[in-house]
Amino acid sequence: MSTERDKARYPFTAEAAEFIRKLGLRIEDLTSEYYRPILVRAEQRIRQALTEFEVTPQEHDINIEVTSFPTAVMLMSYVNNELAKRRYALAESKSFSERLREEPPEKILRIAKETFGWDVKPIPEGERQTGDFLLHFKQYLTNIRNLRELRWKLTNRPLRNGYVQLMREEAARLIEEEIQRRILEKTKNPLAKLPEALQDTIKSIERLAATSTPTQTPIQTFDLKIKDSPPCIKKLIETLSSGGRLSHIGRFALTSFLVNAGAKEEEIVGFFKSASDFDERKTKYQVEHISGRRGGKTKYIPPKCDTLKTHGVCSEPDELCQRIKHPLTYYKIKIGRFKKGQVQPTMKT
Amino acid sequence: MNNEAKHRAGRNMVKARFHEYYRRNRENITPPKSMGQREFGFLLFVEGVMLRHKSFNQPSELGKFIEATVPSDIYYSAAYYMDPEAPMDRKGWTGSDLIFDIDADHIETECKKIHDRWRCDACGTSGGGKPPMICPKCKGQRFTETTWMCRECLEEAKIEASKLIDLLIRDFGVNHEEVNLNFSGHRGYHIHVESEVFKNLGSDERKEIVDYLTGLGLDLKLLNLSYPPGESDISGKFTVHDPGWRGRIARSIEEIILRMDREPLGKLGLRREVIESIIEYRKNIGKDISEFIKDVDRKTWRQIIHKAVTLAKVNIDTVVTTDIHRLIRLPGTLNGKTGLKASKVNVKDLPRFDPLKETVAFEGEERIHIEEAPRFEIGGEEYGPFKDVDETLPAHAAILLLCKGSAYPVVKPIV
Repeated sequence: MSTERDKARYPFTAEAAEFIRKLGLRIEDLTSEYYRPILVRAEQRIRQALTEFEVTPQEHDINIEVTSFPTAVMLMSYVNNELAKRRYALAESKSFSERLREEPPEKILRIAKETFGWDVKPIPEGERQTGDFLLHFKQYLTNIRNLRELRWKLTNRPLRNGYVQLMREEAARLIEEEIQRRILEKTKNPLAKLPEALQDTIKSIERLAATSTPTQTPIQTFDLKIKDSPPCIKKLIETLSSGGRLSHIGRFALTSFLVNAGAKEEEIVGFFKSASDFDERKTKYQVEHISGRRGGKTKYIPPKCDTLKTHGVCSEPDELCQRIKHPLTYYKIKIGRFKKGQVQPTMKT
Repeated sequence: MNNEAKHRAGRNMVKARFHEYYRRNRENITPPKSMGQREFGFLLFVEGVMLRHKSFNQPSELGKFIEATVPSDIYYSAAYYMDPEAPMDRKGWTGSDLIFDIDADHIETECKKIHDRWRCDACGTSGGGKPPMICPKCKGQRFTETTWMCRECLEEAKIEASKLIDLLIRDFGVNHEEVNLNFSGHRGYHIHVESEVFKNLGSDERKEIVDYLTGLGLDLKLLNLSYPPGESDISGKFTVHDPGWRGRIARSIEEIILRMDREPLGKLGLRREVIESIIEYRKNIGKDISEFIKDVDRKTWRQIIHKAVTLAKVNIDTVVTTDIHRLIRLPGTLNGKTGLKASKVNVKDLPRFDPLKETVAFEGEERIHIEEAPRFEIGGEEYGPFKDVDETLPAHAAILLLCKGSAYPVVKPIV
C-alpha cells in the first residue's frame, strides 16, 4: 500500500486513480465554488510546467493535489497548442521521475507493475552487479523510442531470455517515458464539450502557451539547395548521377526529401534520369504518389535518421548529423529556417 | 518462332507443370495460423500481374483458387487484419508476425562471380557477378541480371538462419515451437515467428530488434569490452555465458581462437602474426579464451573483437522485418523463379537439410533448347554449363532453366 503522501507525489499511479474514481468528480463540478481549489491547483501545475519546466508537489492537501493532476491533463486536452501539450507532458513526467529515482527499488517496481502492467522482476540481491531489475524487452522497446543515447540501444544492453537488465535510475527514466506518452495520449482530444465556465481558464492557458512556446514558421516553399542537404541525401544523388541504382528505401528517402525540400516534380524526375534503371513513367508516378497528388493523398516525409541507419542509407554523418533526428531538420537548420536557440519541433514520422 | 514467342512457350510449359503440381498437392499447402485474418497475394504467369487483397477462410477455398488461377508465386500477409480484402488504409491492422528474410543476395559469396551473370541491354556484352556501373563496351547503363542458386550460397544462408534462430531463442526468449523456418525455394530462408509477444510491435520496435540482430550502434565501451579486456568490466570476467552481445562476442572469439582452421582465419582477414599466435596458443594451453585474451596487445584485441562482431552479426533483409504489412511466400507453394517448393524445415534438421534435393517438385523429362546456363546443381545431379544446345533433362532441371528464362521448349516435329 502506498502512503497518502505517495498519492500526492505520484498522482498517476493506479492507487491514486482509484482514489480519484471514488471521489466521483465530474467535469461540471470543477466550475463550482466548492471544488475551485482543485481547478486553481491544476492551473498552477500547468503554469509552472510551461514556464519553469517542472511541477513541484504540494503535500498539505492530498485531496486537492491528487485530483489536480487529472484535472490539469483534462484542461490541456482543450488547449490548442501541440508544443504546449508536449511541454506540459514532459515537465510533469520529468518531475515524477526525478522524485521516483530516489525511491527504494521495491516502490519503483510496484509502480511499474501495478500502474503500467510491466513485466518486470527484481534481480536477486547477490547478482546485482549490472542491474537491479529485469524488464521484458517489449516494454523496454516501447519506452526507448525517443531516447537516442547509445546506452539505450538494445544492442548495448544485457538481454537474455527476453529480459533486459536495468539499473534503478534507468527504470525511473523509462517510467518517465511511459507517463509522458500517457499524458500526451490523454491530452490529444477532449472527452467532453468544454463547460462555458471553463472557457476563460483555457483561454488564459493558451495565452501563456503562446508567449512561452516559440511559434513555428509556416511551411514555405523554397528553392532547392543541394549543398545544404545532409550527407545521406548528397550520397544518394551522387550514386544516381554516376549511373548507380538505389535501394527501394534509398529511392523513397531521396524523393520524399526532395518533395519536402521544395523541389519541382520535373527537377526530381531529372535526378533519376541518370539512373541505370530509369523508367520515366514509373518515376513520375512515384513522385506524384509521394508528393500526395495520387493514391492516398498524403504527402510523405522522409524516414528519420534512425531508420535510414537501420537500412544502410545513412552515410558519413557529419557534426550537425549528431544533433538532429531527421534529415529535413538538418536541411532546415542549414538553410536558416530555424533561428539559433529556437526549439526544434520534432518531426512526426 | 521469334524470341518472345519462344519464351512465352517456356512460361506455358512451366504453368502447365505448376497446374499439374497443384492439382495433385493441394493438401500439402499449409495455410498460416488465423488464415481468415490474412491478406493473400498471387503473382500470375501473365507478365507482372499481381492479384492482391484476397482472403480465404478455409484451406479448401484457397486450394480451389490456386488450382483455378495457377499463379507463379503465392504470398500471404505477415499481418493480421479485421478486413483483409479492404483497401490498404481500411484493412484494420491488428498485428503482425515477426518475419525475417535471409537471402544470398545480401551475403557476399565468392561463387556469385561464377554463377551470377549480367548482360548489357544495349550491346549484349555479358559478364559474371554483379553488373558494372556502365557497360565496358558500349557505355550502356542498363543490364539484365540472372542470379543462380548454388550450394555455397545456400550454405551461407543456412549459417545465417542458424545464428538468427539461436539469437531469437537465447536472447529474446522465443519458444522453439514459435519459430517457423522455411526454405524460400530460391536463394535463402524465411523465418516466421508467430507469437503474441511480437504480434503488436510497431515498426519502430521491430527496427530496434533488427539493429540488435545486425549489431547496429554497438558500443564496446558500453559493453565493457574496451582494451585492456576484462579490466574495465565491473563483474571482472568476460565469458561465453554473458547475456546479450557480450556473450555473442565471447562465443565468436571462442570460435575464432579454439576452433577455426588456418584457412577460415585467413578469410576472416586476421593478420598473419595473429593467426600464428592463435594456432600456437591452441597447441599449448588452449582451453578457454580468457588466458589468450590476457596477453594480447591492443591492436590484436581490436582486430579480434572486430572480427568476432562480424561473425556474430546476422545478415538479414532489414526492410522485410520492419515492414508490418509485408507479404511473404506461402510455405508449400512453388517458387516461380525456380520451380522448387518453398518448404518448411524442421529447425533440428537444418544442418542436414538439402534444399537443392529435397524441394524438387516435378517428375519425368522435358526437351528444351538452352541458350546459356552456368554449371548448376539440382535434385542431387550436376548439369551444364550449356550454350545453345538442345537437351533432354529431368523435368525439375528443365523447369528451372525455363523459369530463369535461359531456355525454351523444343517443339516436337509433327509427323
